[in-house]
Amino acid sequence: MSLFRQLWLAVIAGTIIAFAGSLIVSMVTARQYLEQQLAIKNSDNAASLALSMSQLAKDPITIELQVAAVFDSGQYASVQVIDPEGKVMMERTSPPDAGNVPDWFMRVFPIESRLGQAQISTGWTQFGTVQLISHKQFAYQELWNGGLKLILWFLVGGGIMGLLGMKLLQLIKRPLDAVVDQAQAISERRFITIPEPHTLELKSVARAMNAMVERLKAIFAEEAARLEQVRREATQDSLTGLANRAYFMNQLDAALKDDDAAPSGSLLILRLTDLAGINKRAGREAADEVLRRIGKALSEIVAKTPGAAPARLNGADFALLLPGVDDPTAPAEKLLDTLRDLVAADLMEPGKVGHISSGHYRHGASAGQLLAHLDATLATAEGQGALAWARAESNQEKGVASNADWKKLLEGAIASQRLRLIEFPVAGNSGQMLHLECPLRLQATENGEWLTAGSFMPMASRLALTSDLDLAAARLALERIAAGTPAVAVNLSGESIFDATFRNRLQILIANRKDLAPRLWLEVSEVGAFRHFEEFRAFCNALRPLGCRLGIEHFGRQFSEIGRLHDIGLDYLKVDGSFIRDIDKQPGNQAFVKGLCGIAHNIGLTVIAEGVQSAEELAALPELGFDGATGPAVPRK
Amino acid sequence: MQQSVMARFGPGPITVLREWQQMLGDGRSGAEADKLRKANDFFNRRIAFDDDITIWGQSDYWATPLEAMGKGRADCEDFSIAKYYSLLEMGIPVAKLRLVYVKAQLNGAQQAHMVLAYYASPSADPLVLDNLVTDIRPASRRTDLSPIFSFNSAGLWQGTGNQSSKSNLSRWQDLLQRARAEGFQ
Repeated sequence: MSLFRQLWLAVIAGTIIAFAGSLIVSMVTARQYLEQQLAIKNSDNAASLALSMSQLAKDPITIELQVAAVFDSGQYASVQVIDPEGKVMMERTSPPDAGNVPDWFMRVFPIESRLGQAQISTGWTQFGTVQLISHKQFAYQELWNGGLKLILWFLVGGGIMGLLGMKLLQLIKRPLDAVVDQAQAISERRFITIPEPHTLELKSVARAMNAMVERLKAIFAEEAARLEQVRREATQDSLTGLANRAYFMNQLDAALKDDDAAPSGSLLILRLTDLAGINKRAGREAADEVLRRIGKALSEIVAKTPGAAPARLNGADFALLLPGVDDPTAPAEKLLDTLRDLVAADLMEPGKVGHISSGHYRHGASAGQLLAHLDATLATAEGQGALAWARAESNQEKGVASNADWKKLLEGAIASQRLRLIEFPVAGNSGQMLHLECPLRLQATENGEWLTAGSFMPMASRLALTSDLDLAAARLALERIAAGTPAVAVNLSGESIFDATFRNRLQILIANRKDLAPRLWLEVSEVGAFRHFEEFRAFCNALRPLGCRLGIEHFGRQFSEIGRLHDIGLDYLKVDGSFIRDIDKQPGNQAFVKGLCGIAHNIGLTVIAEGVQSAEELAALPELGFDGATGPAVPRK
Repeated sequence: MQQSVMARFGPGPITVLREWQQMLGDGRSGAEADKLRKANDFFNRRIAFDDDITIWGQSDYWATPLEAMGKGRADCEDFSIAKYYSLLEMGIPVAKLRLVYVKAQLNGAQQAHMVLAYYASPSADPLVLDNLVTDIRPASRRTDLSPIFSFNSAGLWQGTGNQSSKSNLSRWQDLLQRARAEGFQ
C-alpha cells in the first residue's frame, strides 16, 4: 500500500474515531439528562397534584375533574389515583404517540420514565396516592433530533476534515513525489537532479541523490573528454583535423557496402605536387599552413553537404567522399580555387601545384578498384598542367530521376503499401538473438525493383515523406512481432522525429498495441538525434512510458555529444561500422570503443557493434565491452 | 459513623451518638408502640429546640439525624426527620410513617410546623410524634394541629446521586441523599 494511502486511512480512521466517540458520549449524556428531567417532572407534578387534591373536596367528580385537568393539559402516559388499599380509584391513560423516531433507535437508547408518586390526605387520614408517568416520546424525539444534528455535523465536519487532510497530504506528497520521480528516472537511466524539498527527511534524500547524479555527470564528462581525445587520435589527422587514412577507408567501405548507404556518390582525390619542395624552400611552417588551408576548404565543403567525409590520406594526398552527390563539379572547383589562392599567397610555386581526380561510384562497388581508377585519372590530370582536374570516365547511365518523379514514385508506393521489411539479425555475445533489425524496402513500381532505404530515404527526407514511411515501418514491425518475432528494431529518420505530428501518430499506433511495445526497438541515427536534440528528447519522453526500447544507431562520430544522453533514458547504442572495420587490428579504435562501451554501460546502455564484416572482428568485440553485434559476419539462424 | 461525626463536630456528641445507637439496638426487638415512645422520648429529651438560622446560619435547613445529634440542637423538621429515620432503623415499615406539614396553634398564634405521624393501618387515626407536645397522642386529640400535606420516602425517586443533578433536587430529595451517604437506607 502506498504511503499516501496509509496516511489517508489514518486521517479517515482518526476522524471517525473522534466523531463516533463524541457522538456516543453525547448521546449517552443526553439520554441520562433526559431521563433525569422526566423523573423530576413526574415527581414534581405528582406532588403538586396530590397537594391540590389534599386541599379540596374528595367527591369523585372533583377528583375526576382534577385528574382530567392535569392529564388533558399535560403529556402523560398515565395518571392514577390509588386508595390506601392499593385499588385504582381513578385512571387516565393514553397510548404512546407514534412519533417519527425509528424503533431500533429506541431499542439502542432506551429512555426510562420513572413513576412520580405523592400522597393525598384528608386531614390526618390517608385518602390515596397519585401515580403519574409522562410520555417518553418527546424525550426520544429530542434525543433523535440531537443525534441527527450530530451526524449531520459529523458529515460536514468530516468532509471539512477530509478536505483539510487531503490538502495537508498533498503538501506532504508533492516533495515526496518529486523524490520518487527522480528515483524512477534514475532507474530508467535518466540522470536528473531535482530542487531540494523543504521537508527535512526528504531534503537529505534529495540532496544525496542529486549529489550522486552530479558526481556521475562529472565522471561521465571527464571520461567522455578523455575518450574524445582517444577517438581523435585514432581517427584524425592531427594537423588538419580531417579523418586519417584508416578511418577514411572504413567510411568508404561503409558507403559502398552498408545497406542504408546512398546508392551512388562521388569521390575526389587531391594530390599536392611538391609538398617536400615547399618544406625545403619555405620551411615546415609554410608547408603546415598549406595543409591546414586545404583542410579548412574541405571542411567548408563538408559543412554544406550532409554525409560528406573528408580525409588526409597521407602526406600530400587528400580525399573527399560525397555520398549521394553525382556531380562533384562544385566541390572540385572550390578546391581548385583554394589551390590558386595558395599560389597567389606565394605559398606554392605556380609550376608545382596539385591535381584533382574525381569519380562516380555505385553502391556495392569495390573500394580498391575505385581508388585505383582515381589514381589513374590523377595521372591524366597531371598531364594536363600544373593545376588540373580530371574526371574519371564513368559508365553510369544518366537516368537521374527528377524530384517530381521521385515524389510520384514514393507516394505511389506509400498509397499502395508496396513496402516491406527485410531483416538482419542482431546477436548477443553468446550468439543469442537480441532482435531483428528490419530496414524498410520500397517497391518502385508494381512488380518492379525493391529499393534499399539508402536509395529512397534521402529523397524521401528532401520531399518530407519520411513520416509516412517510418509509420509504415513501425506498423509492419508491430505486425511482425504479433506474428511471433521476439523483437524487432526499426530505423526512424531524423526528419520524422522532428515532426510533432509523427511523434503523436507513432505514440498512438504503439499505444494501441501496448502488449507488443516492449519487443519493439526504435532507433534514430546519431546525426538525426543530435541535429534536433530537443525533439529527440520529446520523442523519448513520449515513447518511453509505452515500454519501447529506444536507441541511437551509427553512433560514434559525434561522440563528444554523449554527455547529452545522460538524462533522456535511452536503452542502447549501435556503434557505427566505421569504428568496427578491422577492429581486431586497430589499437587506436580499440581504445576508443572500449572506453565508449564502459561509459555507456555506466548509464545502463546496451552497446551493439554495427557492420561487423569478419569473424575476427566479431571475436574481438566481447572483450572490448560490446553486448552484441550486427553485420555480414553475424550468422543468420 | 462515630468517626465521621467526630470529624465534623468533635468529640462532644459521641455520648449522644452512643446512647442513640444503644436505643436503636434496644428498640429493634420491641413492639411498635415501644419503638415510637423510645424514639420520641430520646430526641425530645436529648436535642434542644433552636432555629435553623442560629444552628446552621440558613433560614431553612433540613438536618440528617447525625447532624441533629452532632449539633445537639434542631428545629421541628429536624426532630421529625431524626425520629422518622430512627423508626425506620428500628424496623417500622415506611408505609406507616409520614412527615406531615401542619398549621399549629401555639399560644394563640398560628405557626408552620412539622410532625411525624404513625399510621397503624392506612385508614387509622394516626399517632403524632411532636417536639412541642412531647408525649405521643392520637391525631384526633391534637386539635391544635391542622394537617396540610404529608409525605414519606416511599415511591420517591431518589436521584442518581450524581453531583450535576443536585440543583434539580427538592429539599427532601437532598436530605435523602445526604442521609444515604451517612448510612441510612
